[in-house]
Amino acid sequence: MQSDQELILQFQKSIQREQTFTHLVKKHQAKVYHQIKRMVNDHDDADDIAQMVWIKIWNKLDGFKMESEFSTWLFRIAYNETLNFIAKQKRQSSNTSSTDILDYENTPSHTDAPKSSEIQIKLDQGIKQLPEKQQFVFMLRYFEEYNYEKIASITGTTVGGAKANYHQAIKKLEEFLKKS
Amino acid sequence: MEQRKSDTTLENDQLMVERLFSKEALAKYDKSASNVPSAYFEAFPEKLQQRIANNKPKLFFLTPIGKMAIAAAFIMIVASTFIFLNSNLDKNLALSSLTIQDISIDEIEAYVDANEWMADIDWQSEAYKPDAEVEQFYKDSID
Repeated sequence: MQSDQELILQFQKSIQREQTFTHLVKKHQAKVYHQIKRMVNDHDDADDIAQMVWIKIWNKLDGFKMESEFSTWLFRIAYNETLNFIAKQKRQSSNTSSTDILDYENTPSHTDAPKSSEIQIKLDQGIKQLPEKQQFVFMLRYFEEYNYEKIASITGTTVGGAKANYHQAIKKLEEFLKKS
Repeated sequence: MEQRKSDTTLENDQLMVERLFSKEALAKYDKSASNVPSAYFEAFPEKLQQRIANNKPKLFFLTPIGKMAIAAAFIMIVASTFIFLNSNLDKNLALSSLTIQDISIDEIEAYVDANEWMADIDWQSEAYKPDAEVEQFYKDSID
């Protein structure tokens, strides 16, 4: 399989642009989609944001200088698009429920059902009450297992700032659990 | 996984969360969040290409070249207006600085003759109008 760098160079040299771009999309689409979906919890919204992200990539890929990893750049665009979407949604409807629960019915459980769902709901609610930036950092660190350098590049902060965001998120989750 | 090896704090960071919620709950959360309709990822690249193809091209005046063209046109309009107004000002200045001494006697005589002749024409044209009051003209001329 071709590396991101090779694919980008091919794209920039206008060698089978559509095909090359499709390779890039296929390589990264799942990770980007999942990260967005974790933030917005709705497939249609996640799909729409993901499309916007990839359209931006298509429009700007010619100017990409490969000073950072492609995935970092991609996630940075996804981060901005997701946060813009959430801010827009908040402006449009201040009455949206903050307790939307994820679709747990479709996921198989290995433990006793009522206890598990209670934890799930608390986890979901705990994550929801976090500020968007902390949520994003938390997801990237815990689920994507990204290092703080990469997280800092994606979210436009320092390594220290990214670490602080993650630890603050955990502290808030702990406080939320104590309160509930 | 390479990243995981080099990042020794990752496990500690993950453990901090797993102490609050079980590892299983977190895994379940992730699985729920990443639930997708069947064949979504297979269809996504094609759907995306269609959307890119349907995307309207940028309006000319919003592109960098378009913006430059608008700026150039604006500068041209301002410059030509400035030049036009300046040339009119010069003409007015030239006329206002003209004195009677600058005009030759021949020119003055020609002007007077022409105006007398014009006045004569005006008078005659008024006089030959069917409803003209001739007495009024005589009165005017006497006054």
